[in-house]
Amino acid sequence: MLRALAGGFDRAVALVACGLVVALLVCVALGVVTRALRDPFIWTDELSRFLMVWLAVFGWVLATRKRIHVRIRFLQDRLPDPAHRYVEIGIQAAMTLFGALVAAYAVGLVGKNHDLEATSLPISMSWLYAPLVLGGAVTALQGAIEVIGAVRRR
Amino acid sequence: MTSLMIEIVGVWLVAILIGLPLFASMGLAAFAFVAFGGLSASIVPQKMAQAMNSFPLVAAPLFILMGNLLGAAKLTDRIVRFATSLVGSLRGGYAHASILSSMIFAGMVGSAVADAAGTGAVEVRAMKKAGYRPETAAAISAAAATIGPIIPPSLPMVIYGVSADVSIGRLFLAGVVPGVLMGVSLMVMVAIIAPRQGLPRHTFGGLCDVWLAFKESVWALMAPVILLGGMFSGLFTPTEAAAVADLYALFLGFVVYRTLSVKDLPDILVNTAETTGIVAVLVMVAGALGWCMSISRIPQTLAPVIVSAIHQPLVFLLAANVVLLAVGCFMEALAAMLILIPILVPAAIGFGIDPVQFGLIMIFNLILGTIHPPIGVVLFVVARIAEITFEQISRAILPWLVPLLIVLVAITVWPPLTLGLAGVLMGK
Repeated sequence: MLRALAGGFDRAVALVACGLVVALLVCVALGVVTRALRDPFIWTDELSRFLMVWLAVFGWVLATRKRIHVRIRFLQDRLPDPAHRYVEIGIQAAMTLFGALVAAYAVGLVGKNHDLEATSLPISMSWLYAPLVLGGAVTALQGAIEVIGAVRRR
Repeated sequence: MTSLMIEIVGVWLVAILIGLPLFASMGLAAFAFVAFGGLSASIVPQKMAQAMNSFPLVAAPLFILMGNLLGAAKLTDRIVRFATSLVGSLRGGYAHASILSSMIFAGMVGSAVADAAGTGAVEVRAMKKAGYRPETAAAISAAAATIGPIIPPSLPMVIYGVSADVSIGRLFLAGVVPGVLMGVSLMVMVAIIAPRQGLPRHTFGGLCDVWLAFKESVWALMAPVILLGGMFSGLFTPTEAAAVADLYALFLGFVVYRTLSVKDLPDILVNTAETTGIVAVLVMVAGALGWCMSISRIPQTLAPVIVSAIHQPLVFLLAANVVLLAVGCFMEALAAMLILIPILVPAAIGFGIDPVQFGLIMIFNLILGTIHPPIGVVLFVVARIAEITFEQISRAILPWLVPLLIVLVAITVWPPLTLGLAGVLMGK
């Protein structure tokens, strides 16, 4: 059940990430084309930046789920088994803490910026901070799952 | 606050060495700084989002997408065939062709790993078939792949430009001459070792063969021309150039060569998003940590200390080379760049060194780390392609570092090599 849920979540994130890459490409290309036609859209730059933040966070989530973030394992891999496991538990606990902090404070930012409107787009500035809630929450959850997994592997 | 930041940086470095993912360690360091410094913790996610809220950075995913599209469209085979028709008849012809292919491919993608995985696969196969020792073939291909992020476009240059507040267009131009020099120096090395190792020649097929290979690859060869021509004629910015290049790669794959199908797109797009995510989250937390460093006046404190301790700009550059080479051996290039930019760039500026020249030196050093053990990601890629062990490629690569180090010394001691072209085309 949990595995199916995780698979569905991963597919949904991948789908949104694909859409964001396409949207970003179309948006930047629109900026070039409309400028060449001497009737530039003023919102393409700002929309690209919003899309960039969203794409960055969805990419971060994908990389977190696949455990492919940059980390130096050189020293940890040389530790004997029990020490290796304890260090891994500590690392994943730190990941959980980081993710939880980002998610919690990003919720506050979304609330604070709710009334602010973007410069050229009729949307709230909250949309700039909203994806961080997802990024932080997934990082925290993934870290917690890894901690449980490492403790059970005893 | 300076001492608080120094303590936090110390703990953060230990966390990195223990194995905490880099982005989490940098993010936690930023949270620790604001917590102990009595500042609001919401500054951290705010600075993270703001770091990504930048139009020049949009070029990063678009260049990553271009590399993935070109790889999936199998344009590398045509480029390698064209390069072989040109220089294959020299002694060690496949090695020369491998280097030339990497130089051409470098004008389309901005990453050493993409170059190694793209042209490297074709080159190593061809060299092994022609009787080259697998480790020699792999070493040549790995060394040539380092040209990828030096000749524009370049992903590390986009990240450096945004982080150090330097013109990306100027950085791109600054990479042209060093990139060509890298290619030439590697070709000189091939010319030296070819008779000793008995590297074979490829039969020259005549001008007709060159013309046929050119005709087959002309659309692919136009990619760097469109990309760089559009950028430096002022038609579009580097970010927009990346989007135009993506559309051109799609046009080549779907219309001209018909090597791409709609079925390939999901994998290409997901791969692009993943790679973007790995890089982008580092840029985000580096934005937050960089803000903490500037508030704690670390760069302002360290830069004068470095300047007064070293005195000479050239000595500083040589010392920076040693530090960067050492760091590049143990840390991923983009991550190392994000950590070191706030410390080293202000010091370089303090010495009167142009941040564009310093950027090239920094990127060059850190890219050399990708073909150097123990991390050496490019070595891992080519070792797998050549079906040899990491130890074999680690030994075989050593002589090929020499010509690249000579180019590094040249761009360090003679600024016109990096700044000359940008000065001519974009003014002072």
